[in-house]
Amino acid sequence: MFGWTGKIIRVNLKNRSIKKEDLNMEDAKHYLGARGLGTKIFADEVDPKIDPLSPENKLIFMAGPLTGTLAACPGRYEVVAKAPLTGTIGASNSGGHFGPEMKFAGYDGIVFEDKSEKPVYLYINDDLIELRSAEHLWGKTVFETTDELLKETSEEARVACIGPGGEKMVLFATVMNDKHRAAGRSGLGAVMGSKNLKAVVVKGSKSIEVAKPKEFLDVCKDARKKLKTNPVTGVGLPTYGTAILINILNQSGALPTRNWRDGGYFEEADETGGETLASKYLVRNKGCFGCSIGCGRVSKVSDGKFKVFGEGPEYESGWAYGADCGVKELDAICKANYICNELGIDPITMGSTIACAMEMYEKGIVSKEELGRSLHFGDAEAIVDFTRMTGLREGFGNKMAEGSFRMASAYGHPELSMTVKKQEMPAYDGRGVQGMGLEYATSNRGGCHVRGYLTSPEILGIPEKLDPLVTTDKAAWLKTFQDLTAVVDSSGICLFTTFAIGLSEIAAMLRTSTGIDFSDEDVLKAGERIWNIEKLFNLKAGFTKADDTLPPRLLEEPLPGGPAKGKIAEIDIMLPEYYALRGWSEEGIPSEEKLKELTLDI
Amino acid sequence: MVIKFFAYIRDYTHTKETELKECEMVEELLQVLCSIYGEKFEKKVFKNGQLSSEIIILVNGRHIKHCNGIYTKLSDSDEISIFPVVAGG
Repeated sequence: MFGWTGKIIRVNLKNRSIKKEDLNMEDAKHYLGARGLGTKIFADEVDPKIDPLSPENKLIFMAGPLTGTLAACPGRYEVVAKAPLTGTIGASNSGGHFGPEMKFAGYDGIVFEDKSEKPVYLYINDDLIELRSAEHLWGKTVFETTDELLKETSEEARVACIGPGGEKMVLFATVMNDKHRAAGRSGLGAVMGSKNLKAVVVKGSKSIEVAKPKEFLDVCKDARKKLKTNPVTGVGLPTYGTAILINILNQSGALPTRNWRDGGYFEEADETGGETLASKYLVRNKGCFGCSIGCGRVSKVSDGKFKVFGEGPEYESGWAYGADCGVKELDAICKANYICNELGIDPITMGSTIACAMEMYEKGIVSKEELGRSLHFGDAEAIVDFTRMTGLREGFGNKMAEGSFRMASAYGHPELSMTVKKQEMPAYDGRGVQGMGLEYATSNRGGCHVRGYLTSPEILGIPEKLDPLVTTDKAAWLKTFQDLTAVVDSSGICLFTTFAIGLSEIAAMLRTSTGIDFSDEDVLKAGERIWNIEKLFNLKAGFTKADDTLPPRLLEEPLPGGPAKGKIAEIDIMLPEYYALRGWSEEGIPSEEKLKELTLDI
Repeated sequence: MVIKFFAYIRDYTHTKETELKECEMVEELLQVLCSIYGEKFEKKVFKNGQLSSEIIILVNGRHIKHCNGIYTKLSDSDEISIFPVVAGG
């Protein structure tokens, strides 16, 4: 077996049975691994209409064929389940060392079924696989849980776990691995909590075989050289981390400010950006397994009321707590971000939900009495306090724990929630970056930026510069980006590699590692297949064309200033073109011909 | 006009921003900035006499590629942002 290990583990948490199964190699060839293969297994086995927090949901941890190999940035794996925040297929990608370790133990993935009566964790040490009690860990934070599990198993093991956020089924709880790495979006940590599964601990000593070692080494060397010499992956990301984007999006007039109410320019953005983080709080950068970029931030606020030592913030969390909440204090942002990791909740949804509550408070929709305090935009202490309260479901945090859509809807104001399919949109205003608007509207997991990152061509000029204010060709670019991203996520490498390498390098790594003679076209077709199987799941779950849209604010309120002044997100122009390019009907349903072409008709 | 510098461009300028007057277009502005900030800055901005592909210049938030490149006209009320090529997400 090359690339893949060829084995998955199936754990029934109710009857405590543990089985090893052979990987279906036809499926592996068609869906690669991680996001794609995890979704294929999930979609084959789970009714799309189930309640995501019921025992009928399954939870899958899946690595890709390149995970843990010598490929470029091969530290990624995927967590798949039906997502509690959105009700869509949920697939969240994470880095660190957990995914590679799962492969070293001899497994491509783990499928968890049903629900344990009491808290448990799964321990894997090569061929030894057992469920152990986690009652002594229930209630503990991500960091405490990780430390304790390493102590009671092996200091060399890797831990993926939930914190109190997952236990209390905060709808945007994360699965955390290696302490600070998150399968962050859509609430898959809540699914883990609903199953009473506190953690997965894995230790492996095996190696991953590749089909053509010499050729594989050559293509990997070539890819790594490209990453090293590229100004983005070789200099920008290691030096400043992802938060380097704060200023360029702000100067481009597309950094959503104060719950997207005040346009795309935050006056104090520079104080929250990557440059300030590097000069004030950065201790060192940090990479995941086999990473040559090192975009991770080890950061320390040495004194004051927001004293903290941890990792981050990233661009998205820096924006959600910063510009979106109108907060300029970077130390408070670092602290709030740390609490998200500690309690295991998603900082994008958390920050955006606080921003929504700030607007509700300023509009008089929610009272000081109910909140327990005032909640104006710009309140640095509030972002820290409400993050902790939400992770623990205390006070008004219990309402925030449902995400902004359910929170604002409970007060009759869903229009104040900046969500698509109930998931908070990230840090690019679709009015000022038109392709990103289409990306949010069509993403199979709701408001999300990493399913087809058109910011890259529209703002950053990679691989070429597109005008962010026009709709022309955006549908075609988005389709290609979505399909290629599905390939990247399913291979087990980091999406950031695509700032320096493309389809041909990725396909070459897949060919030489697995020994399967994939053409570049076959690989991209696999990406398209993965996109369509996700779409089919969502259609069966009840989603329709009406859900492929944006919040009214982006469709009706023109941007008040900046280069995109007067623009709204022109989804009505781009969406029909996008459906047609995908081979879908006007209602967004894949045609029989398309399904046949993708072998999805069986 | 106000010129703002970002990321490691600040290492060459040792300032976050500066003000200049009477530069008719981006090309002239860049030449003036090169004379102020010296060789390291110039090497980042120009490659073989052409505007480097590793630099991003915005005039009032618009990338100059969507205006008139280095021939984009400027007025004293404009804000110009200069970035190295960056990415993240």
